[in-house]
Amino acid sequence: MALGSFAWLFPVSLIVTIVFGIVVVVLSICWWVIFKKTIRCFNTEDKRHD
Amino acid sequence: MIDWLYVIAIITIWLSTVMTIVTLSGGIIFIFKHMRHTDIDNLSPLKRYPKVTLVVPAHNEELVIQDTVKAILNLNYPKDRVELLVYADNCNDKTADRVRELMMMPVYINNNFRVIERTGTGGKAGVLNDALKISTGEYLGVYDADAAPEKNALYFLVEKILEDPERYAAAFGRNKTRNYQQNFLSRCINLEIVNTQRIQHTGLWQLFKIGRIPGTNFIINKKIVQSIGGWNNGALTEDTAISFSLMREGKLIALAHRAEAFQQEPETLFAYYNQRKRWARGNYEVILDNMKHLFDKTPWRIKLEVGYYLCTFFWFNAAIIISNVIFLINIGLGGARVIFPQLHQLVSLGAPLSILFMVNWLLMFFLYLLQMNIALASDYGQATVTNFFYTLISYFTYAQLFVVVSIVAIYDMLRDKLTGQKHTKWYKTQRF
Repeated sequence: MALGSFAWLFPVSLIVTIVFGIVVVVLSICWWVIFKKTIRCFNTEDKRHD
Repeated sequence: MIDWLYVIAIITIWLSTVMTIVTLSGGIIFIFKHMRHTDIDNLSPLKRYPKVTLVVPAHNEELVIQDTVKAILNLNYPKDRVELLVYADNCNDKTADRVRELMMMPVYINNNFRVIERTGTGGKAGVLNDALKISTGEYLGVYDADAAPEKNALYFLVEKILEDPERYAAAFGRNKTRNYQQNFLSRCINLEIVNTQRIQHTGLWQLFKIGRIPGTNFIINKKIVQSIGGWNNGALTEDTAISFSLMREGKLIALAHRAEAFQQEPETLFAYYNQRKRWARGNYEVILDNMKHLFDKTPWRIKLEVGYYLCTFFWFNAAIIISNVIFLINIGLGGARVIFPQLHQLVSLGAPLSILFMVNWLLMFFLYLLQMNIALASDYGQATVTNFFYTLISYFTYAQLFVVVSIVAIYDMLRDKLTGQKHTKWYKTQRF
Protein backbone atom coordinates (compact mmCIF):
# COMPACT_ATOMS: atom_id res chain seq x y z
CA MET A 1 0.00 0.00 0.00
CA ALA A 2 1.71 3.21 -1.11
CA LEU A 3 1.08 6.54 0.59
CA GLY A 4 -0.61 7.87 -2.53
CA SER A 5 -3.23 10.02 -0.81
CA PHE A 6 -0.58 11.90 1.15
CA ALA A 7 0.99 13.93 -1.63
CA TRP A 8 1.60 16.79 0.81
CA LEU A 9 3.76 14.56 3.02
CA PHE A 10 6.93 14.91 0.95
CA PRO A 11 7.12 18.74 0.80
CA VAL A 12 6.14 19.02 4.48
CA SER A 13 8.72 16.40 5.44
CA LEU A 14 11.35 18.21 3.37
CA ILE A 15 10.70 21.53 5.14
CA VAL A 16 10.64 19.85 8.57
CA THR A 17 13.93 18.07 7.81
CA ILE A 18 15.65 21.27 6.62
CA VAL A 19 14.50 23.24 9.70
CA PHE A 20 15.42 20.33 11.93
CA GLY A 21 18.87 20.14 10.32
CA ILE A 22 19.50 23.86 10.92
CA VAL A 23 18.40 23.53 14.58
CA VAL A 24 20.73 20.57 15.09
CA VAL A 25 23.67 22.52 13.62
CA VAL A 26 22.96 25.49 15.96
CA LEU A 27 22.64 23.15 18.96
CA SER A 28 25.92 21.46 17.99
CA ILE A 29 27.66 24.85 18.12
CA CYS A 30 26.10 25.43 21.56
CA TRP A 31 27.40 22.06 22.73
CA TRP A 32 30.92 22.89 21.55
CA VAL A 33 30.91 26.30 23.27
CA ILE A 34 29.55 24.80 26.52
CA PHE A 35 32.10 21.98 26.36
CA LYS A 36 35.00 24.41 25.89
CA LYS A 37 33.84 26.79 28.61
CA THR A 38 33.00 24.13 31.21
CA ILE A 39 36.24 22.21 30.64
CA ARG A 40 38.16 25.42 31.28
CA CYS A 41 36.04 26.20 34.34
CA PHE A 42 36.38 22.66 35.78
CA ASN A 43 40.14 22.64 35.15
CA THR A 44 40.43 25.93 37.07
CA GLU A 45 38.49 24.35 39.93
CA ASP A 46 40.81 21.35 39.92
CA LYS A 47 43.89 23.59 40.12
CA ARG A 48 42.31 25.55 42.97
CA HIS A 49 41.88 22.33 44.97
CA ASP A 50 45.29 20.81 44.09
CA MET B 1 -6.35 3.17 8.07
CA ILE B 2 -2.72 1.97 8.46
CA ASP B 3 -1.59 4.87 6.26
CA TRP B 4 -3.33 7.35 8.53
CA LEU B 5 -1.92 5.78 11.67
CA TYR B 6 1.54 5.90 10.15
CA VAL B 7 1.29 9.55 9.12
CA ILE B 8 -0.18 10.56 12.51
CA ALA B 9 2.67 8.69 14.23
CA ILE B 10 5.21 10.59 12.12
CA ILE B 11 3.63 13.98 12.86
CA THR B 12 3.50 13.08 16.56
CA ILE B 13 7.18 12.18 16.58
CA TRP B 14 7.92 15.58 14.98
CA LEU B 15 5.91 17.28 17.72
CA SER B 16 7.77 15.40 20.44
CA THR B 17 11.02 16.50 18.77
CA VAL B 18 9.87 20.12 18.89
CA MET B 19 9.14 19.68 22.61
CA THR B 20 12.63 18.26 23.15
CA ILE B 21 14.20 21.18 21.25
CA VAL B 22 12.24 23.73 23.32
CA THR B 23 13.29 22.16 26.63
CA LEU B 24 16.87 21.74 25.43
CA SER B 25 17.01 25.42 24.40
CA GLY B 26 15.80 26.42 27.87
CA GLY B 27 18.44 24.15 29.41
CA ILE B 28 21.18 25.71 27.25
CA ILE B 29 20.15 29.26 28.21
CA PHE B 30 20.20 28.21 31.87
CA ILE B 31 23.67 26.65 31.52
CA PHE B 32 25.07 29.81 29.89
CA LYS B 33 23.49 32.03 32.56
CA HIS B 34 24.87 30.00 35.45
CA MET B 35 28.34 29.22 34.22
CA ARG B 36 30.15 31.52 36.61
CA HIS B 37 32.23 29.85 39.28
CA THR B 38 30.89 29.70 42.84
CA ASP B 39 33.54 29.72 45.51
CA ILE B 40 31.95 27.19 47.85
CA ASP B 41 34.71 27.71 50.42
CA ASN B 42 33.69 31.37 50.91
CA LEU B 43 29.91 31.53 50.74
CA SER B 44 28.35 34.77 51.89
CA PRO B 45 26.03 34.52 54.93
CA LEU B 46 22.31 34.21 54.27
CA LYS B 47 19.86 37.04 55.09
CA ARG B 48 18.50 34.79 57.81
CA TYR B 49 18.67 31.16 58.78
CA PRO B 50 15.13 29.80 59.12
CA LYS B 51 14.79 26.68 61.22
CA VAL B 52 14.55 23.57 59.03
CA THR B 53 13.27 20.14 60.07
CA LEU B 54 14.96 17.51 57.94
CA VAL B 55 13.06 14.25 57.64
CA VAL B 56 14.57 10.95 56.56
CA PRO B 57 11.93 8.28 55.87
CA ALA B 58 13.69 4.92 56.10
CA HIS B 59 12.17 1.49 55.52
CA ASN B 60 14.77 -1.24 56.12
CA GLU B 61 17.71 0.95 55.24
CA GLU B 62 20.44 -0.36 57.57
CA LEU B 63 22.92 -0.54 54.68
CA VAL B 64 22.84 3.14 53.78
CA ILE B 65 21.29 5.07 56.68
CA GLN B 66 24.50 5.95 58.52
CA ASP B 67 26.12 7.60 55.50
CA THR B 68 23.04 9.70 54.90
CA VAL B 69 22.64 10.77 58.53
CA LYS B 70 26.33 11.62 58.79
CA ALA B 71 26.11 13.75 55.64
CA ILE B 72 23.07 15.59 57.04
CA LEU B 73 24.73 16.17 60.40
CA ASN B 74 27.75 17.65 58.61
CA LEU B 75 25.69 20.15 56.60
CA ASN B 76 27.02 23.69 56.42
CA TYR B 77 24.09 25.24 58.30
CA PRO B 78 23.85 26.46 61.94
CA LYS B 79 23.31 23.38 64.10
CA ASP B 80 20.71 25.11 66.29
CA ARG B 81 18.64 25.85 63.15
CA VAL B 82 18.38 22.20 62.06
CA GLU B 83 16.21 19.48 63.52
CA LEU B 84 16.67 15.97 62.14
CA LEU B 85 13.94 13.33 62.36
CA VAL B 86 14.86 9.85 61.15
CA TYR B 87 11.79 7.63 60.77
CA ALA B 88 12.46 3.90 60.93
CA ASP B 89 9.21 3.11 59.17
CA ASN B 90 7.95 -0.44 59.76
CA CYS B 91 11.52 -1.72 59.80
CA ASN B 92 12.47 -5.28 60.53
CA ASP B 93 16.19 -4.69 60.29
CA LYS B 94 18.64 -2.58 62.34
CA THR B 95 17.93 0.82 60.77
CA ALA B 96 17.03 2.45 64.11
CA ASP B 97 20.03 0.90 65.88
CA ARG B 98 22.37 2.20 63.22
CA VAL B 99 21.11 5.74 63.82
CA ARG B 100 21.34 5.33 67.62
CA GLU B 101 24.99 4.31 67.19
CA LEU B 102 25.60 7.72 65.64
CA MET B 103 23.74 9.48 68.45
CA MET B 104 26.25 8.00 70.93
CA MET B 105 29.23 9.42 69.06
CA PRO B 106 30.75 12.49 70.81
CA VAL B 107 31.09 14.37 67.52
CA TYR B 108 27.30 14.42 67.03
CA ILE B 109 26.27 14.89 70.67
CA ASN B 110 25.30 18.55 70.13
CA ASN B 111 23.12 17.87 67.09
CA ASN B 112 19.36 18.02 67.44
CA PHE B 113 18.26 14.68 66.06
CA ARG B 114 16.23 11.65 66.98
CA VAL B 115 15.08 8.38 65.55
CA ILE B 116 11.39 7.49 65.59
CA GLU B 117 10.29 3.88 65.16
CA ARG B 118 7.02 4.02 63.27
CA THR B 119 4.46 1.30 62.66
CA GLY B 120 1.74 3.33 60.94
CA THR B 121 0.44 3.11 57.38
CA GLY B 122 0.68 5.45 54.39
CA GLY B 123 4.25 4.72 53.30
CA LYS B 124 6.54 7.69 52.72
CA ALA B 125 3.62 10.13 52.54
CA GLY B 126 2.42 8.81 55.92
CA VAL B 127 5.87 9.45 57.41
CA LEU B 128 5.95 13.00 56.04
CA ASN B 129 2.47 13.71 57.41
CA ASP B 130 3.57 12.42 60.84
CA ALA B 131 6.64 14.65 60.69
CA LEU B 132 4.46 17.60 59.72
CA LYS B 133 2.65 17.28 63.06
CA ILE B 134 5.69 17.25 65.33
CA SER B 135 8.30 19.27 63.43
CA THR B 136 9.40 22.58 64.90
CA GLY B 137 11.00 24.03 61.78
CA GLU B 138 9.65 26.76 59.52
CA TYR B 139 10.58 24.58 56.57
CA LEU B 140 10.46 20.83 56.15
CA GLY B 141 13.28 19.17 54.21
CA VAL B 142 13.29 15.61 52.91
CA TYR B 143 16.21 13.30 52.23
CA ASP B 144 15.65 9.70 51.23
CA ALA B 145 17.67 7.19 53.23
CA ASP B 146 20.04 6.65 50.31
CA ALA B 147 20.52 10.33 49.46
CA ALA B 148 23.52 11.92 51.12
CA PRO B 149 23.51 15.72 50.66
CA GLU B 150 26.63 17.64 49.71
CA LYS B 151 27.66 19.84 52.66
CA ASN B 152 26.23 23.09 51.20
CA ALA B 153 23.00 21.56 49.87
CA LEU B 154 20.75 23.00 52.58
CA TYR B 155 22.45 26.41 52.37
CA PHE B 156 21.65 26.61 48.63
CA LEU B 157 18.07 25.38 49.10
CA VAL B 158 17.38 28.01 51.76
CA GLU B 159 19.21 30.68 49.73
CA LYS B 160 16.91 29.99 46.77
CA ILE B 161 13.68 30.01 48.74
CA LEU B 162 14.62 33.26 50.49
CA GLU B 163 14.87 34.99 47.10
CA ASP B 164 11.07 35.11 47.09
CA PRO B 165 9.60 33.35 50.14
CA GLU B 166 6.03 34.39 49.30
CA ARG B 167 6.07 32.87 45.82
CA TYR B 168 8.44 29.96 46.32
CA ALA B 169 6.65 27.30 48.36
CA ALA B 170 9.50 24.88 47.93
CA ALA B 171 13.01 24.59 46.55
CA PHE B 172 14.58 21.48 45.12
CA GLY B 173 18.13 20.56 44.26
CA ARG B 174 19.90 18.09 42.06
CA ASN B 175 20.49 14.43 42.66
CA LYS B 176 23.59 12.66 41.45
CA THR B 177 24.20 8.95 41.09
CA ARG B 178 26.86 7.81 43.53
CA ASN B 179 27.10 4.21 42.27
CA TYR B 180 27.11 4.96 38.55
CA GLN B 181 30.33 3.07 37.84
CA GLN B 182 28.91 -0.25 39.04
CA ASN B 183 27.60 -1.70 35.77
CA PHE B 184 25.98 -0.95 32.41
CA LEU B 185 22.55 -0.30 33.95
CA SER B 186 23.79 2.12 36.62
CA ARG B 187 25.83 3.98 33.98
CA CYS B 188 22.74 4.36 31.78
CA ILE B 189 20.62 5.47 34.75
CA ASN B 190 23.33 8.03 35.50
CA LEU B 191 23.04 9.40 31.94
CA GLU B 192 19.28 9.68 32.35
CA ILE B 193 19.61 11.42 35.73
CA VAL B 194 22.23 13.87 34.44
CA ASN B 195 20.00 14.65 31.45
CA THR B 196 16.89 15.09 33.61
CA GLN B 197 18.65 17.34 36.11
CA ARG B 198 20.75 19.36 33.67
CA ILE B 199 18.33 19.77 30.76
CA GLN B 200 14.72 18.93 31.71
CA HIS B 201 14.63 20.62 35.12
CA THR B 202 16.70 23.62 34.09
CA GLY B 203 14.87 24.03 30.78
CA LEU B 204 11.41 24.01 32.35
CA TRP B 205 12.53 26.35 35.14
CA GLN B 206 14.28 28.75 32.77
CA LEU B 207 11.39 28.99 30.29
CA PHE B 208 8.27 28.55 32.40
CA LYS B 209 9.35 28.73 36.07
CA ILE B 210 8.03 25.20 36.46
CA GLY B 211 9.66 22.91 38.99
CA ARG B 212 8.71 19.49 40.30
CA ILE B 213 9.47 18.23 43.75
CA PRO B 214 11.69 15.19 43.50
CA GLY B 215 11.48 12.46 46.14
CA THR B 216 14.52 13.82 47.93
CA ASN B 217 16.76 16.88 48.42
CA PHE B 218 14.10 19.56 48.75
CA ILE B 219 12.67 21.90 51.37
CA ILE B 220 9.08 23.02 51.59
CA ASN B 221 7.24 25.69 53.54
CA LYS B 222 5.53 23.90 56.42
CA LYS B 223 2.58 26.29 56.70
CA ILE B 224 1.78 25.96 53.01
CA VAL B 225 1.90 22.15 53.18
CA GLN B 226 -0.42 22.25 56.18
CA SER B 227 -2.78 24.58 54.34
CA ILE B 228 -3.14 22.13 51.43
CA GLY B 229 -3.74 19.19 53.76
CA GLY B 230 -0.30 17.59 53.73
CA TRP B 231 0.83 14.69 51.59
CA ASN B 232 -1.51 12.28 49.88
CA ASN B 233 -1.28 9.20 52.14
CA GLY B 234 -0.39 6.03 50.27
CA ALA B 235 0.33 7.79 46.97
CA LEU B 236 2.81 5.88 44.81
CA THR B 237 4.49 9.14 43.82
CA GLU B 238 3.73 11.55 46.65
CA ASP B 239 6.25 14.03 45.19
CA THR B 240 4.37 14.51 41.89
CA ALA B 241 1.05 14.73 43.75
CA ILE B 242 2.23 17.51 46.08
CA SER B 243 3.90 19.37 43.20
CA PHE B 244 0.52 19.63 41.50
CA SER B 245 -1.18 20.67 44.75
CA LEU B 246 1.32 23.51 45.24
CA MET B 247 0.99 24.71 41.66
CA ARG B 248 -2.79 24.66 41.93
CA GLU B 249 -2.34 27.14 44.81
CA GLY B 250 -0.38 29.39 42.45
CA LYS B 251 2.92 28.70 44.22
CA LEU B 252 6.26 27.97 42.55
CA ILE B 253 8.72 25.16 43.17
CA ALA B 254 12.13 26.75 42.67
CA LEU B 255 15.19 25.05 41.27
CA ALA B 256 18.26 25.46 43.51
CA HIS B 257 20.70 24.01 41.02
CA ARG B 258 23.73 24.12 43.31
CA ALA B 259 22.09 22.03 46.05
CA GLU B 260 23.33 18.54 45.34
CA ALA B 261 22.71 15.14 46.90
CA PHE B 262 24.24 11.81 46.01
CA GLN B 263 21.83 8.92 45.82
CA GLN B 264 22.02 5.25 45.04
CA GLU B 265 20.34 3.96 41.89
CA PRO B 266 19.23 0.39 41.07
CA GLU B 267 21.98 -1.97 39.98
CA THR B 268 19.76 -4.82 38.78
CA LEU B 269 17.14 -4.90 36.07
CA PHE B 270 14.59 -6.25 38.56
CA ALA B 271 15.08 -3.35 40.99
CA TYR B 272 15.02 -0.86 38.11
CA TYR B 273 11.88 -2.36 36.57
CA ASN B 274 9.90 -2.28 39.82
CA GLN B 275 11.04 1.21 40.78
CA ARG B 276 10.21 2.69 37.39
CA LYS B 277 6.91 0.84 37.12
CA ARG B 278 5.87 2.31 40.48
CA TRP B 279 6.92 5.80 39.36
CA ALA B 280 5.16 5.48 36.02
CA ARG B 281 2.01 4.09 37.61
CA GLY B 282 1.99 6.82 40.30
CA ASN B 283 2.59 9.57 37.76
CA TYR B 284 -0.18 8.31 35.47
CA GLU B 285 -2.65 8.38 38.35
CA VAL B 286 -1.69 11.95 39.32
CA ILE B 287 -1.93 13.12 35.70
CA LEU B 288 -5.31 11.52 35.14
CA ASP B 289 -6.56 13.03 38.43
CA ASN B 290 -5.43 16.46 37.24
CA MET B 291 -6.75 16.16 33.69
CA LYS B 292 -9.91 18.02 34.68
CA HIS B 293 -7.75 21.11 35.29
CA LEU B 294 -6.98 21.39 31.58
CA PHE B 295 -10.29 23.15 31.10
CA ASP B 296 -10.93 25.02 34.37
CA LYS B 297 -9.47 28.18 35.86
CA THR B 298 -6.39 26.69 37.52
CA PRO B 299 -3.03 28.40 36.83
CA TRP B 300 -1.58 27.90 33.35
CA ARG B 301 1.42 26.02 34.72
CA ILE B 302 -0.88 23.19 35.78
CA LYS B 303 -2.34 23.01 32.29
CA LEU B 304 1.14 23.02 30.75
CA GLU B 305 2.34 20.30 33.14
CA VAL B 306 -0.71 18.11 32.56
CA GLY B 307 -0.42 18.64 28.80
CA TYR B 308 3.32 17.89 28.88
CA TYR B 309 2.86 14.69 30.87
CA LEU B 310 -0.15 13.56 28.82
CA CYS B 311 1.80 14.02 25.61
CA THR B 312 4.94 12.32 26.91
CA PHE B 313 3.41 9.39 28.74
CA PHE B 314 0.44 8.57 26.53
CA TRP B 315 0.40 10.24 23.12
CA PHE B 316 4.11 10.18 22.20
CA ASN B 317 4.56 6.73 23.66
CA ALA B 318 1.63 5.43 21.65
CA ALA B 319 3.13 6.96 18.49
CA ILE B 320 6.50 5.32 19.13
CA ILE B 321 4.82 1.95 19.72
CA ILE B 322 2.65 2.24 16.59
CA SER B 323 5.56 3.25 14.37
CA ASN B 324 7.75 0.49 15.87
CA VAL B 325 5.04 -2.14 15.34
CA ILE B 326 4.46 -1.03 11.73
CA PHE B 327 8.22 -1.01 11.14
CA LEU B 328 8.64 -4.54 12.53
CA ILE B 329 5.63 -5.93 10.62
CA ASN B 330 6.98 -4.30 7.46
CA ILE B 331 10.36 -5.93 7.97
CA GLY B 332 8.65 -9.29 8.60
CA LEU B 333 6.50 -8.94 5.50
CA GLY B 334 9.53 -7.84 3.48
CA GLY B 335 11.31 -11.04 4.53
CA ALA B 336 8.23 -13.19 3.85
CA ARG B 337 7.96 -11.80 0.32
CA VAL B 338 11.07 -13.76 -0.61
CA ILE B 339 8.95 -16.93 -0.22
CA PHE B 340 5.46 -15.47 -0.84
CA PRO B 341 5.87 -12.75 -3.51
CA GLN B 342 2.11 -12.03 -3.50
CA LEU B 343 2.36 -10.44 0.01
CA HIS B 344 2.27 -6.63 0.26
CA GLN B 345 3.93 -4.46 2.88
CA LEU B 346 1.68 -2.52 5.28
CA VAL B 347 3.16 0.82 4.30
CA SER B 348 5.54 1.32 1.42
CA LEU B 349 7.22 4.65 0.96
CA GLY B 350 8.62 5.96 -2.28
CA ALA B 351 12.40 6.26 -2.43
CA PRO B 352 12.57 10.07 -1.81
CA LEU B 353 10.31 9.86 1.26
CA SER B 354 12.23 6.86 2.61
CA ILE B 355 15.50 8.77 2.33
CA LEU B 356 13.95 11.83 3.94
CA PHE B 357 12.64 9.82 6.91
CA MET B 358 16.02 8.16 7.28
CA VAL B 359 17.62 11.62 7.44
CA ASN B 360 14.93 12.58 9.99
CA TRP B 361 15.78 9.57 12.11
CA LEU B 362 19.51 10.34 11.93
CA LEU B 363 18.84 13.93 13.00
CA MET B 364 16.73 12.69 15.93
CA PHE B 365 19.50 10.33 16.96
CA PHE B 366 21.97 13.20 16.70
CA LEU B 367 19.64 15.39 18.77
CA TYR B 368 19.57 12.68 21.46
CA LEU B 369 23.37 12.59 21.50
CA LEU B 370 23.54 16.38 21.64
CA GLN B 371 21.09 16.59 24.51
CA MET B 372 22.95 13.94 26.50
CA ASN B 373 26.37 15.41 25.82
CA ILE B 374 25.36 18.99 26.58
CA ALA B 375 24.03 17.69 29.92
CA LEU B 376 27.26 15.74 30.52
CA ALA B 377 29.46 18.72 29.59
CA SER B 378 27.72 20.89 32.17
CA ASP B 379 28.28 18.39 35.00
CA TYR B 380 31.67 18.14 36.67
CA GLY B 381 33.57 15.00 35.67
CA GLN B 382 30.85 13.57 33.41
CA ALA B 383 32.09 14.63 29.95
CA THR B 384 34.23 11.55 29.39
CA VAL B 385 34.86 9.38 26.35
CA THR B 386 33.35 6.40 28.23
CA ASN B 387 30.14 8.31 28.87
CA PHE B 388 30.00 9.35 25.22
CA PHE B 389 30.04 5.70 24.14
CA TYR B 390 27.37 4.91 26.71
CA THR B 391 25.14 7.62 25.24
CA LEU B 392 25.53 5.95 21.83
CA ILE B 393 24.62 2.50 23.13
CA SER B 394 21.89 3.62 25.54
CA TYR B 395 19.75 4.97 22.69
CA PHE B 396 19.23 1.46 21.34
CA THR B 397 19.04 -0.31 24.69
CA TYR B 398 18.28 1.55 27.91
CA ALA B 399 16.15 4.29 26.31
CA GLN B 400 13.81 1.63 24.90
CA LEU B 401 13.17 0.14 28.36
CA PHE B 402 10.88 3.04 29.21
CA VAL B 403 8.47 1.96 26.48
CA VAL B 404 8.18 -1.50 28.07
CA VAL B 405 7.80 -0.07 31.59
CA SER B 406 5.11 2.39 30.51
CA ILE B 407 3.09 -0.30 28.68
CA VAL B 408 3.15 -2.54 31.78
CA ALA B 409 2.25 0.40 34.06
CA ILE B 410 -0.73 1.34 31.85
CA TYR B 411 -1.85 -2.30 31.80
CA ASP B 412 -1.58 -2.48 35.62
CA MET B 413 -3.54 0.72 36.05
CA LEU B 414 -6.32 -0.32 33.66
CA ARG B 415 -6.56 -3.78 35.25
CA ASP B 416 -6.87 -2.27 38.75
CA LYS B 417 -9.48 0.24 37.56
CA LEU B 418 -11.55 -2.43 35.80
CA THR B 419 -11.41 -4.97 38.61
CA GLY B 420 -11.64 -2.37 41.40
CA GLN B 421 -8.77 -4.09 43.21
CA LYS B 422 -5.14 -3.15 43.80
CA HIS B 423 -3.03 -5.96 42.39
CA THR B 424 0.10 -3.84 42.21
CA LYS B 425 2.56 -4.65 44.99
CA TRP B 426 4.84 -1.94 46.36
CA TYR B 427 8.45 -2.99 45.88
CA LYS B 428 11.05 -1.32 48.02
CA THR B 429 14.03 -0.28 45.92
CA GLN B 430 16.86 -2.64 46.74
CA ARG B 431 20.03 -1.10 48.23
CA PHE B 432 23.57 -2.23 47.50
